[in-house]
Amino acid sequence: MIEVTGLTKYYGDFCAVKDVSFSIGQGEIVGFLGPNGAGKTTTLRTLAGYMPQSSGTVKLLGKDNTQDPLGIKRQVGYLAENNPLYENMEVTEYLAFLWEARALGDAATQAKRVKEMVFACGLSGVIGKDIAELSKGYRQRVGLAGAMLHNPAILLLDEPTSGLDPIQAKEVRDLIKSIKKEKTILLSTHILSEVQMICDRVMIIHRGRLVTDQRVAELQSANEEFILTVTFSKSLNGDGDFQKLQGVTAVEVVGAAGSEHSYKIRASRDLRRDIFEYVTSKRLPLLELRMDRKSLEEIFHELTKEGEK
Amino acid sequence: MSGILTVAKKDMREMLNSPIAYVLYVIFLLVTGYFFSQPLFVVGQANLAPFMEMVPLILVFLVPAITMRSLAEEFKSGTFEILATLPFKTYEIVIGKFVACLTLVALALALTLIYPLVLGILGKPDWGAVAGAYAGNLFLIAALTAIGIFASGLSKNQVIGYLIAWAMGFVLFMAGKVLVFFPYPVNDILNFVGFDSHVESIARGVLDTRDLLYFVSVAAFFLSLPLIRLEKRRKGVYA
Repeated sequence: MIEVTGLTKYYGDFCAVKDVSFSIGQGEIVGFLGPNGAGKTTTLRTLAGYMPQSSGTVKLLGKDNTQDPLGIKRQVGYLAENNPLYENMEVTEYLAFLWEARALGDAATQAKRVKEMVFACGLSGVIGKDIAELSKGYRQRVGLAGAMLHNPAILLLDEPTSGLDPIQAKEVRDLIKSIKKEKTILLSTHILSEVQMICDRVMIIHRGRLVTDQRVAELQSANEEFILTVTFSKSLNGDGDFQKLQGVTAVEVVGAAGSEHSYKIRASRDLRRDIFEYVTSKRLPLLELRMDRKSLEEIFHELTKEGEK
Repeated sequence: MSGILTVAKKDMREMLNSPIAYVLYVIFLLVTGYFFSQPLFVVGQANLAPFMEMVPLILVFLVPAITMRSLAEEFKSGTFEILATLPFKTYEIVIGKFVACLTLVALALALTLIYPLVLGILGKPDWGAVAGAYAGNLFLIAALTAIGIFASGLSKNQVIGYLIAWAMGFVLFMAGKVLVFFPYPVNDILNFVGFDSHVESIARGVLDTRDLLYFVSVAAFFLSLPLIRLEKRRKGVYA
């Protein structure tokens, strides 16, 4: 569905995106992740036909973006960054404008489809209101309704939940989840948990270069690390000899809070049982044993650090 | 082609949904109304000439107020990204915006038709001259609107869009008024470049193709500039 090869984009002398290649198949939902200024918006704008690449090829639905830009625009739904909307228009006026602009058909089909979108995006409460009066969450829904109005095969969403409160963000995510079965979606975000929640695959871009392109589950298992925090009611000698346990990569003395002394143990496998046995054999006064997996957040942090080198 | 209409309708709807258009109409009617009623009540003369003479100058102020937001606001609010990612050709966007502004200003001018109609009740105006004057002003509006669209496309700033369009319109308006200060052949060139001579002959009821061609070429020239600019932007010559 989306084929990008060697995509490079310069703004003057500044290289925003450098030699990015990826392909996305039908029905995939891909999270496009990166810190601000990494090149996410530039890449999406190029795909959406807002501006051309400096070099490389971009093909959507088999069409080259330099050969048939209008053909691509007809079949792609795009939600731009910050979701620009015509403030002076009512919700239905805006959707009617998009309908006309895309020449989608007669008034009866239009009324039916607009009704469907209004229902799907939960817009029925704001139907006669000016877009300027809407809350951010509703604006985002209007933007999504606009992007999906023509039932496009490909959806490009540039930070669809940015600036929303947690409840609104969840609603928008649920909306995206509800449509993800039928569509190919490329969604940019800098919120990692969002990728975990809705995407099958994640591409991480940093300083204009693609640093990772993996399934979300693979990314986590490839970088799997267990972090165990153990707390005792008295201080142990040194780092408590946890290094002796098999699979431990690092031990850190977190410090004491009152009579509580904590140690953070990083390991390549689940060490809870080993630690329990160690603690009981030495009769150590254990208060707490907690295990965390390395979050996608940390993986992301490490990957973007690598990109800096 | 249908893209032009869609863009034009969208722009007009936006303008008519906001108070700007109505405020401008009221101001326009107040000012033109003064120049129409002043000779009528003060001098006791039913004469359209003072009003018709003032219309071009008033338009120089009015038209940029309508056109200033046309492209600038799309750039500023980011909605240009919506237009640029819809299946529109660049010319459809530019001409659509031109048509929208042209229609809105023409509507303002149409509202002043009440003045000659009042004169029609009071006396016998020369309907040919009236029709000629209105037709001439329509061509003038087309030229001013194109200049306004061009100025609006220069930046994100509406005020800059207004000032540049106003300055250009005012220079063209004044060019025909300052001929006596310039030697031949400069005054002849100024006479041709300025609006005055072209508006005048049309206002007298003489529809000379040269005058019409003048306005059409000014409009075409100034519309081609944003078109080239946007096309370059789309092709990625600059961001």
